[in-house]
Amino acid sequence: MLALPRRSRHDYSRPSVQETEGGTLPLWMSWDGGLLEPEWWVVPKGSPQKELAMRFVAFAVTAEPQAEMAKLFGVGPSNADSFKYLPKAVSEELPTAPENRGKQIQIDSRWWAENESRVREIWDEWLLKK
Amino acid sequence: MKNPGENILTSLFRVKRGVLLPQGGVYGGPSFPIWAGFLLFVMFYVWPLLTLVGTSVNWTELSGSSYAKVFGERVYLSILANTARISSIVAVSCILIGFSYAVFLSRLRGTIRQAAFILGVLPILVNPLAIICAWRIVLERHGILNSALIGSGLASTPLSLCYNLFSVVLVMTYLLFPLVMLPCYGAISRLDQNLVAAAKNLGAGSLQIFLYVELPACLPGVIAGGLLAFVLALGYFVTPALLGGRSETMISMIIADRFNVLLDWQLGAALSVMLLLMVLVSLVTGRIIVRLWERHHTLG
Repeated sequence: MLALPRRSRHDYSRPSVQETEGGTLPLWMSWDGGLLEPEWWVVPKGSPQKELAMRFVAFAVTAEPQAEMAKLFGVGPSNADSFKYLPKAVSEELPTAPENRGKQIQIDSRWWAENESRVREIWDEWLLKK
Repeated sequence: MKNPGENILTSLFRVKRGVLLPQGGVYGGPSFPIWAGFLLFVMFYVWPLLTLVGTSVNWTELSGSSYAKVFGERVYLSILANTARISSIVAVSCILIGFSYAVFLSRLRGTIRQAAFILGVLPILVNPLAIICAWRIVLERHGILNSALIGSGLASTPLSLCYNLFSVVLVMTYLLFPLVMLPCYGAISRLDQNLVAAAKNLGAGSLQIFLYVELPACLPGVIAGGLLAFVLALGYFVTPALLGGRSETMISMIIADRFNVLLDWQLGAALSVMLLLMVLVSLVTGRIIVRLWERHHTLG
């Protein structure tokens, strides 16, 4: 295992790790058996600028802005067309790239919504076992 | 147990058929400030408490489903028992360390005594989060203590000092022992020196003076302080969350999880009510023990 600097758990994408190490670590990403979880845009109910917010969300999920986001932060675009705007060197490191997507499992949010409280109880009980 | 607060209380309230009633016009003025105090008490204490109980039964629905879960799923009772177990260990170590420290302080003189006193109350003066993080730096696998032990050759491999029962009990005791130390120290300092002189005069050695004069004077402080440490330990959240391991889950961590992560407010509120009941039961039990002890003491 690598001795990684202490950072928050969401911060282990390869570009961000490389950045702290001055780009010197011999690191490659493996997507085998990874878990894919989508992120959301939310417009609060009763928002006074609902129309503007919706237009922003519509813009943010189009291919080009998503591709720019990927270049900046190394997050996987949710729009499949974004990969037209990304060079191979960038896209092969992203979880949602066509060649990586099939290696991963999509987290079933609906299942978790129904079962999370039960799973937590089992988990908490297991933790207490000697 | 006489305390200075009692005089203020009796001047503000009179007891009628076992009920506290406000004494009208204490300083010759109208009595409304007392009612204002009651209003604040109801608004900021009684009402939130009722809200908590109401949430736990889903208000008008009066559903006991969350309580059925608390008693039906073994995990919740196990965690409540675990919380009581950790708190008892903490209370006992607080009593041992707090009492010893008070006796130690009473044997010191002058500036050294003052310095040692400040050292003893440091845990309640410094931010607990800073204390917990500092202990973590000391106790971690590659922390200060392990580095020193390995560097000096006393240990060959790092000891597991952090993220277990040891670290949780150690830091919780450190944070809570002043609650036992302060009343004991007060009792020993206020002890009538004539009693000590009389005991000496009658041929008592220093051990006998300690056992028969100083220890009985401290006992109310030991019991009250230990009880307070236990009750406060029941609700501890940050220390077990940051320094505990797999088995140091305490009820407040589960309450926070049910409220914030699962958004199950009803269950979170029911668990909070259970914690509150645990606190009440411990306080009443403690009161009964003190009463019995006092009766025994005055008769004997």
